Amino acid sequence: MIEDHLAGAAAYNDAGFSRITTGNPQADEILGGGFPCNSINILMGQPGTGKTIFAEQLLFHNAKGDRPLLYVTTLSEPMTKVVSYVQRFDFFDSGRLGKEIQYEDLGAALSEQGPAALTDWLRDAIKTRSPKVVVIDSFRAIHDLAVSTDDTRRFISNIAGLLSAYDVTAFLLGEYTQDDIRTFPEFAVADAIVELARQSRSSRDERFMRVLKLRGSAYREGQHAFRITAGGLELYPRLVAPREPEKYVSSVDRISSGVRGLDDILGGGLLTGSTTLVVGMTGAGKTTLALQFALEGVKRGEQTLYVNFQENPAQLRRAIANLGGDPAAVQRQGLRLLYASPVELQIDSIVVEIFEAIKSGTIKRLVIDAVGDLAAAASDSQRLHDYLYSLIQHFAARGVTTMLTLESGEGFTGSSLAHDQRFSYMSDNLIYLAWSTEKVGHRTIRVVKMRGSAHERDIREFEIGAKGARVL
Amino acid sequence: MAQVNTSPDNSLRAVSDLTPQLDPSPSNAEGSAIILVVERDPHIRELESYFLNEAGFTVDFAADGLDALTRARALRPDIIITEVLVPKLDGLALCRTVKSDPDLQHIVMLVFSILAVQSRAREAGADAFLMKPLAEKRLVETVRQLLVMRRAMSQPGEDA
Repeated sequence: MIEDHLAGAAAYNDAGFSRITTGNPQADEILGGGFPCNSINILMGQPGTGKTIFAEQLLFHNAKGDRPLLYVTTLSEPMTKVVSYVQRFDFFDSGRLGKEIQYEDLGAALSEQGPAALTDWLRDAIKTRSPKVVVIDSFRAIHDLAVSTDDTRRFISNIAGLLSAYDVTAFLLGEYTQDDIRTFPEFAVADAIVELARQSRSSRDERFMRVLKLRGSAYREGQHAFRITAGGLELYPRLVAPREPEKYVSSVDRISSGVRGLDDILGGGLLTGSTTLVVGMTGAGKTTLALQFALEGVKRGEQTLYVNFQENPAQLRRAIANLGGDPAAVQRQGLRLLYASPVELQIDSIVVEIFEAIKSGTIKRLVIDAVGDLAAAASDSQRLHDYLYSLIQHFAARGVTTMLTLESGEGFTGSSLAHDQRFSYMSDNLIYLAWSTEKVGHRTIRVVKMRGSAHERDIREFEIGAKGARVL
Repeated sequence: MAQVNTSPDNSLRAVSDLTPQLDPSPSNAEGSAIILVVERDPHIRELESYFLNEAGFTVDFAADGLDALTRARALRPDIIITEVLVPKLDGLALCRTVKSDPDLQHIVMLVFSILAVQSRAREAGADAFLMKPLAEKRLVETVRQLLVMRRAMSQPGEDA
């Protein structure tokens, strides 16, 4: 018997279906490997959210072989505009146009003949051109041409019937809203629904991708941030905590904090893989303490990552020099500085960068100075906490000893208490720095909490001198 | 579900080994072979008939398994292409009936379905199995190979 090895193998592979890549590794990851082949997919979002770019990135990455990929514009945007805009992107390749990728404008035909013009075009395209992929932009706009609900139903049924019958993967783009999902019949036939959205923040916009439906496949839920670059969509898949709760190896190994006297009140040092939150007012010594912790790592030959949102690299190098370090030398020896200006800060990209850095497995110490800057940049504080929680779980699993600093306006009390407490819950250790109320100009330090270890609870004096900080 | 490990290359090679000298193109080797398609979906019917006609075959349709049997007796098609999910007599039962009927068993049975039922199709006596959706190249090539195979199988007896 002759068997259909191609379709057969595809039907039984691990993913359940064969997939078509989006041309974007992160989007593929979110979609569990890409869009299913031979499917009808809806890309929805308001104008300017990136639907066209996402679809075109997919087209240009799949433009190989003898079957063309068709991009048909309907009524919302003229084809010439779409084509002239796509040239700005790195993935654009004029050599593919007209052969592997064929753009077509159905605006005039649709205006004259109504929705049936698209059905006729599709039937003819299938018969004469054997398309591998068809993108219809905008599909939603065609609804405006339907004269009755019956007309719409018949049209959708014919389009869906043709697309399902033939070996083609279709993308229907549209300025759909959430309400449309319940009322527009194409959503019922869709195998995948991906939403692109833009949310305004004071000085910038944040873009998100969200999978609303993906038939027969697991996908990453929630909002995934992205920005539009010359390379197309640059996505930051939402970080999730490790699937299996990490066996909390209550490490008995301790590492030095790098601050004289501090290890003594920490019961001998910080436990390997633990997270320490250092809270304090401006000038209380958080950055000095964190930098010393980082430099101690370098001294001991440990790869150390220092993430900073306040001091630019020049300022930070000066701070290192003030602590007696040679900035160039310590960077050679394993200190990696990651600076992100709070203005440009996009949390997702920073989190992804940190995560990529620790995934290598070589980083042993990590400082985030300060998590409050992340909180300030976050449009959704719950999301930030989920993120940090996930990150901390990943750190613990990899034995990365972490220090987070947090600026506390009114001390660790008052209006910011709830906010600060959420950070402190996810930390193993809590160190509180303050200005002394007894001796003007003197700083104090107190270990408030240390999970899995005895520690001293008294308020001690914390001195920052020419050789750095120490606990008296 | 168990992983299906078809060894298509072997089965296809077996076909071509039998017929090294035959040209599988219908225009000169098979003339206008007659294909009976058992299919309910109007879009698949339309595309199937279009691509098979384009490839030089004559196509007739049946909407259900019983209708297919009646037409098969009258029409004597070279190949029956059937979906499994058709009314009255399903595609697999149709295969069994055709293959157990001395008058019809020479007809090549191709199961073309949305269901991944390779092994059940084989058990039912199908000569080939293809999974939907329709990809014209795969469909037409499979049909051509089946026609070549059929000729090769019947040739020694006829020629001798």
